[in-house]
Amino acid sequence: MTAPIMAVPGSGGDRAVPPTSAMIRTLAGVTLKRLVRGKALWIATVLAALPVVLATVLHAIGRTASQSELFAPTMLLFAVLPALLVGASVGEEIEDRTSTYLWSRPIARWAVLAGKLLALTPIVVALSVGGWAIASAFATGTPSVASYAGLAAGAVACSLVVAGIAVVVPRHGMALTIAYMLVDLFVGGLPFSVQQLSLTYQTRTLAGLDGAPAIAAPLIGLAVIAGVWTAIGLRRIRRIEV
Amino acid sequence: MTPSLFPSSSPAAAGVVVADRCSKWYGHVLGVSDVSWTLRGGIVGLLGPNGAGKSTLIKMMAGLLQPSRGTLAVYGQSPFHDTAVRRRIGYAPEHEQTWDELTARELVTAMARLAGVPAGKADATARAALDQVGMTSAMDRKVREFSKGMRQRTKLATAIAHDPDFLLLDEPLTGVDPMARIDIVARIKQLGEAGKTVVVSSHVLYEIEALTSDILVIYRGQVLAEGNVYEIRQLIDRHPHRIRVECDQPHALAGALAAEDHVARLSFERGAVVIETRDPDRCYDQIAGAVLGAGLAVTALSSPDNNLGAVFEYLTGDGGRR
Amino acid sequence: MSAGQIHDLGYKRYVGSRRAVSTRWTVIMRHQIATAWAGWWRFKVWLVAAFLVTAVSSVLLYTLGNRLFRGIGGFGGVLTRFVDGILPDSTIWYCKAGFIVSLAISATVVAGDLQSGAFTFYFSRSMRPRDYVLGKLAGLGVMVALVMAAGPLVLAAVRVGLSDSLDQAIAMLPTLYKALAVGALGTVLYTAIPLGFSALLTNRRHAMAVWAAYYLLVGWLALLLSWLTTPELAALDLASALHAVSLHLFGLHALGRMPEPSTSAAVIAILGHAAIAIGLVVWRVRRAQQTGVGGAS
Repeated sequence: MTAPIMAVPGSGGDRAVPPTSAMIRTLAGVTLKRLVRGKALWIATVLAALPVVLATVLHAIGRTASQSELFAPTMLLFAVLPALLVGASVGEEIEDRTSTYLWSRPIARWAVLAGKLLALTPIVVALSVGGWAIASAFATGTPSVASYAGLAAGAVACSLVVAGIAVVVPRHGMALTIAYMLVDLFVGGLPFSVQQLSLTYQTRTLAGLDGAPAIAAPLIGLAVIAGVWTAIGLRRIRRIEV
Repeated sequence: MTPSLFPSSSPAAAGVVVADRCSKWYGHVLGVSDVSWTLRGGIVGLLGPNGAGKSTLIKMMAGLLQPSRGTLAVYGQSPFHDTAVRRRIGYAPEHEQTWDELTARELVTAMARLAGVPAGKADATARAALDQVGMTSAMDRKVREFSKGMRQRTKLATAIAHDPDFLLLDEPLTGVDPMARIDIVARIKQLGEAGKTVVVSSHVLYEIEALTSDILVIYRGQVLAEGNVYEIRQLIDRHPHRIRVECDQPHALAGALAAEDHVARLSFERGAVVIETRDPDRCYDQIAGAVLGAGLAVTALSSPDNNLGAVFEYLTGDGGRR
Repeated sequence: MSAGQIHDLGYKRYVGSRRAVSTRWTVIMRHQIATAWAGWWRFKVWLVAAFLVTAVSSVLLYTLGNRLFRGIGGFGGVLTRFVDGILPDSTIWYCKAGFIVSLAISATVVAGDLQSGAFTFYFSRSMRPRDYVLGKLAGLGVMVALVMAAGPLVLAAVRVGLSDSLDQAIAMLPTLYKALAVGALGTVLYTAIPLGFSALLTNRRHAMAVWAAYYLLVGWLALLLSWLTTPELAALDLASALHAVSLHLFGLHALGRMPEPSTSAAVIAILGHAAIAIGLVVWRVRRAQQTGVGGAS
């Protein structure tokens, strides 16, 4: 049966476009809700626990590992966690065309990316730092504050890089992100100045695992790498047509 | 803010949508070609076969695509570049993908908030919109559990929740069961009566016919015809109009009309005569005169090709040549 | 009830020849190859990477194997041994390209078909689960082999071709089958195992992430633990396992303190993983067929 059309409560002169910050918060909330109801968060949590598994096994067999050895799997997690959380979320939105709902609304496109990053980056940071903290506590004792800060900064930068790649190549973003991070790990291990281009190298340096901890240079390095990819992503997202 | 594409004093500013030599290519594939069209309001059916360019045109109006050449303005602004004008647009895409993890209410609430409805009113807005499309009982179920028809209704709710002035509905009746179809058609008609401008695309002619007589026919990316379907029918002079008269003496009626110059052909069916004429107005007058003069008992009079299906077939039948 | 009759509705049943049921897997294989080949980022870019590995290794083989260079360098024998190590050591680089190819085309196959509902199309026809599994394995295998087997074979041919004499060339011929063996094992690794991961989860992106995590993280953990316990555990790092097989086939050993599993442990690890993975795919496809995703039984 057809009911008479009724006045929609949201109408009545509410024609002003709300502030972008409110839009970003709304998008972040939706992104979190979707994440919690899907499988990705639980898969990411299991993966983040792998360094803890290693530390537990080492503890059980009475061996100890150095902080540097324990840091390596956490760096490998950088190749997977941001891709699984940030890359998949951004890529799916574009590939599955659910972005048509967003981009037909009065919302700036960069705000869509910002909303997703606002929701997902803290999770990437929490899983990376949390896994590292628990694994270290088992295997080597309390890790340094620098290592926490380094990991957190690295996770943020990595999330931005992954978001940029996912916007540029939504369908193959995940494979490309993992490939990028493998190259990054390789470049970061080279004994040449080209290692400055590596996100994982800058993270290790900031964490103080490659000698004396440094702050300014690796932070700037991370900011530049993340900034370049964010700029690429923002430039691309303005032009995407779905 | 993006400057207006048209000065407010220009005639173009009066249109809800003004497309001026608008073209869109996907690489080498042509989506829409050189479309000039003004939509002033009401419900308009966007017709065309699959791949004709209907969705491309709708997406350009929704701000999802920007023209490769020419301009397309909605309320005087480019919907692709101007964020604010999209506040006045409600868009229901043709595809089914949504945020399946959410319930219908959560989805519509989120969409309403993203369209600018204040947070305090968004939930009530979403409930009202879902109620309007007959989804009240299912609003707290997750979208992933929905049938195709329920998804269509939910999409419609996301499009109307923020009370837009201009609705773009891309194939809104696809996959909907007959009862729901009647209901949705009635809702869309109500939206039109409430002063909204609605563009509904479909390749199913009777769906559009049930909604409106104003159409825009797209074929191979170009506008083949626009306006009132009956007026368009009048313009197609290559195909004579058919008038079928059921009466007790069809041969007598045929005899009275046979000598007229506008009559192209007469044929007989059981208890009826079918007249093909190039001047329907004159023909109707003469039928009336013959019926009264000879005292015929007419039981039915119809015009089998004075409908959307016939018009569409005539327009597109020979590759669009009239 | 009236006698049965057929109404002519204008539909004409196809009466031409039909492909034998036993060869229908080739249709799936060809489709898989076409899908993987389409686009640039899915496969071609990584094939180019593998080609670059082959090109760089060939240049190294030519340069370091050159008599003149050996004379000038004055390292004679040392350089000869180094040249012999280029082919097995290139496995590391082919593994990197193979892994990315496996991510892009293998690790998403079954999950992608589940997500898109493609099984309905497969099983509404006279297609059996084994045809699907065989077709996918063969199609992916062809693509992965272009990266994992073609490169080493070309390198082996270059190595034989650059021999100093015909006698040496004949003596070097076993290099070809050794390269082929390594290539075949690598193809199995990067075809079957990621395909198994794609059957483990129903979302293709999740499947991809879990395969990447298993390959990178579990591999690394196994490597670290093997360093502390027994070298055989390093066979669980699949890339290390393939590298170890490659080195051993050419009579070489890893440099430094890297733990190195035995050939048998490495082969068992790769083939064992592959067997479990194929079992998983068969299970998932049968389940999809029986739970109504498909129609035929």
